[in-house]
Amino acid sequence: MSLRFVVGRLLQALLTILLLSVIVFGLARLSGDPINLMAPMEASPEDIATIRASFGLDKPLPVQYWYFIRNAAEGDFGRSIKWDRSAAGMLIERFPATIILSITSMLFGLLLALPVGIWSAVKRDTWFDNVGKIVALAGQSMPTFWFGILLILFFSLYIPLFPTSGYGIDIHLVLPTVTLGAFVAASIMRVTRSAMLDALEADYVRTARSKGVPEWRVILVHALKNAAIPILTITALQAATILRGAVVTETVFSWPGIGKIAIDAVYGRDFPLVQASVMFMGVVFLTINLLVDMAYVLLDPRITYLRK
Amino acid sequence: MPVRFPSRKAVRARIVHAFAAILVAMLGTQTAFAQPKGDLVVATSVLSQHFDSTTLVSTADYLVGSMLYDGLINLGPKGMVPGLAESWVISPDGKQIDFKLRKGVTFHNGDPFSAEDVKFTFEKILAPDNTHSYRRGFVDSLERVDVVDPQHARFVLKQPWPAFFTTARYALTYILPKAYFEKVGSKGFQDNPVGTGPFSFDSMKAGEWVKVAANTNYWGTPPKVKTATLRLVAEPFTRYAMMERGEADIAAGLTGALLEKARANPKLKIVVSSFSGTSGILFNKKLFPEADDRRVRLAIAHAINREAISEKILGGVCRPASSIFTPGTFGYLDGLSLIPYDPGKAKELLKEAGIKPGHKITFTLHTQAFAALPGSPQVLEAIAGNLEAVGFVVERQSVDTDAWMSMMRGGKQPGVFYSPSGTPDDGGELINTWFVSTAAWTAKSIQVPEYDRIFKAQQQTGDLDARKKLLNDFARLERKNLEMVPLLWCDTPFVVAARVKKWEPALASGYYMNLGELELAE
Repeated sequence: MSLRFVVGRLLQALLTILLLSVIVFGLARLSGDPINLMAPMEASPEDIATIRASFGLDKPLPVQYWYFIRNAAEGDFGRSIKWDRSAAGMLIERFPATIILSITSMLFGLLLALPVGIWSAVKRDTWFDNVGKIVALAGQSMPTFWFGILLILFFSLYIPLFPTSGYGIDIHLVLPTVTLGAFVAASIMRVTRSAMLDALEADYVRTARSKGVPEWRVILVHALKNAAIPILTITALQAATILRGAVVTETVFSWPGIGKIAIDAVYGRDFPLVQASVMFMGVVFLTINLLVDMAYVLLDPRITYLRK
Repeated sequence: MPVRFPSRKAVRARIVHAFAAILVAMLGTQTAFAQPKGDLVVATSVLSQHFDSTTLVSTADYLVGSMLYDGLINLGPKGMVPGLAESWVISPDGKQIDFKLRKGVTFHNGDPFSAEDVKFTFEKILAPDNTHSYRRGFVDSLERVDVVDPQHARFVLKQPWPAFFTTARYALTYILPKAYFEKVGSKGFQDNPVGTGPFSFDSMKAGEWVKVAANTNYWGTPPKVKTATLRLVAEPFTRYAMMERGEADIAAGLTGALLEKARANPKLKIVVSSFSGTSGILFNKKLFPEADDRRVRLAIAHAINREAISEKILGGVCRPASSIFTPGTFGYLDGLSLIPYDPGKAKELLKEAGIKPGHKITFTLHTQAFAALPGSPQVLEAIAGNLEAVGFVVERQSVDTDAWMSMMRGGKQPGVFYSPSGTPDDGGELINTWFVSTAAWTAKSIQVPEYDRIFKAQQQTGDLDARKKLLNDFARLERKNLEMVPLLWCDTPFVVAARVKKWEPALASGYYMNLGELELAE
């Protein structure tokens, strides 16, 4: 992995962020006007114009965009129109909640998906494989918000084990983690199974078996290591999916993370907060991608990106 | 005689008795002082954390505002009651109001309340760059506020302002502490707001919750709960689940199936703020010129099945309206009858007016539930169906709240459209919104000179009874003209846990919750 590769990737990421800023700025404004939504029905047009001007929303769009970029470069994303707080400050305050939920969900997803995926490949076309397929299908096709509501219904109301909502590094984490974890587990499970199926049929596996390597070693070392690239790719993609799933999961469970405030900001056309949260998620997403690209090289020496 | 020691059992009994006695004594003391107790949790669907009442943005600002602050006048379950103003005298020409202010009131930070604070608050709204959503109404009437002495504030008016006493958006202007506000500035105030209200600010998390604590020095009846937390829970099912699990004591914004579920649950009860919304059907006569004929409007009034809508779709949260004014509106005229559902009559009237079956009209569907008309998506679809049933071909225009607001404010209303109000407290203000010839909400389709005259006259009379009579006249006349077809009067329902005793939300508003009077059972 050369320095050129890293620098090139960083520049690409920067360009992507700039492009993202234009898109989020444009899309947010295309969708409507925050003051229109917030002001009471009977507010007079003059009063609405005054409020709009106080947020700088009366200025021409290029001017607004220039202010946005100039201030964003200094880390200032403006004040949330709805919450009257620094938008960046709100995100920083909420970041831990989202990170905690993402990590537990990813762990839950991997702990569920990897063993089931591997074992499904080994026990291909048995009842276990079929059950695994159904679970994966269900996980993939159930909308997150619906699954979340079902979990609340069953495990908060019918069997009162867990709280319905709220924040806490304790039992509060269980239901949101399962909801979001199931969402990511399904894809990882499917990819793991198919990557393992390919690997198990490869020549080196036959060689290993004929050499008399114990079966568990064949599966977990020879096959799994070679199936790692697609699994890593899907896991990384799922890390981004988690950000998407968090938007819904956090809303259902009233989990005070970035996703919840982002969706609220979109509904309320809270431009500064929409811009800040989308940019923030964009940066997180790009960082994950960058790390994954680097991890490829480390995992598989055959990948070098840049040949001299 | 051998000494008899009391048995172990007897000793235990004595200890128990002693403890019981102490406990009873303690309880007795507690009742005598009635310390606030219990932590109240309200799961709400809307939350505002904008604390500067002089730059009010949305009506949701009142949710927390009504706990932290007092107006000169406050809103209670029966209507308006004196707040920081003990009494007032209006000059004969109506252009001066002298408020006698309550003595011995202090702000949460200990500063004494005085007429200076009243002047500061109202004149801050009058400032040219002020962003109060209702600023226009203040500027039209209020010239300045004079401090006669610390206990005595005088409103000097440009014209009489009788609506001040009957319209929450004016009367409930929360009084801010001048000295404190000037010291900390508007950002500082936003971080730590201070008022005179029944609760003081405790803590908050932006976009999540606000917690307030009982103000034991409150000039009125101090709150009975120790703290109250308003939690924003966006998902309605989660709010319902919180109620069933006992995680919240009050849930707002539940309608439809979830409200029915709550009604059926013996552990929960439903409390309503009555008449918090009114609504009607209006016509854009540029697109639907036939609606200029009263028979067409009457036909549409007969075509809509309000009873079925209120029962089947809204579960009784709304009821059929006999006028745009509700029984909670100042100026309400009693005794108007409902226009009955009669599709046969509607078809007859349309035929008389020369409208053939198959006549095309445009109609708005609002895709988001709206506080003033809960379940609006379903209600409006039902109305569209009713209109089709009497022969119209209805071209539906689906819009979300933002687009709907733009449409209404930009004069781009379709031929037939609905219009609700979430603040129907004053008849004069409703006329201003809908019936004067300059009203923006009607696509300038209502041009009745008599309405303009009544509006002006009621605005300029200082006498409440005379004003009421004028508004009654308007209601009578409008019933004859039927420029706007009355639709539904709605309440704001709250789902309430059994442990909540004695709670009555304020009249005609889903935003003044009156939590100061709420009591929790042990």
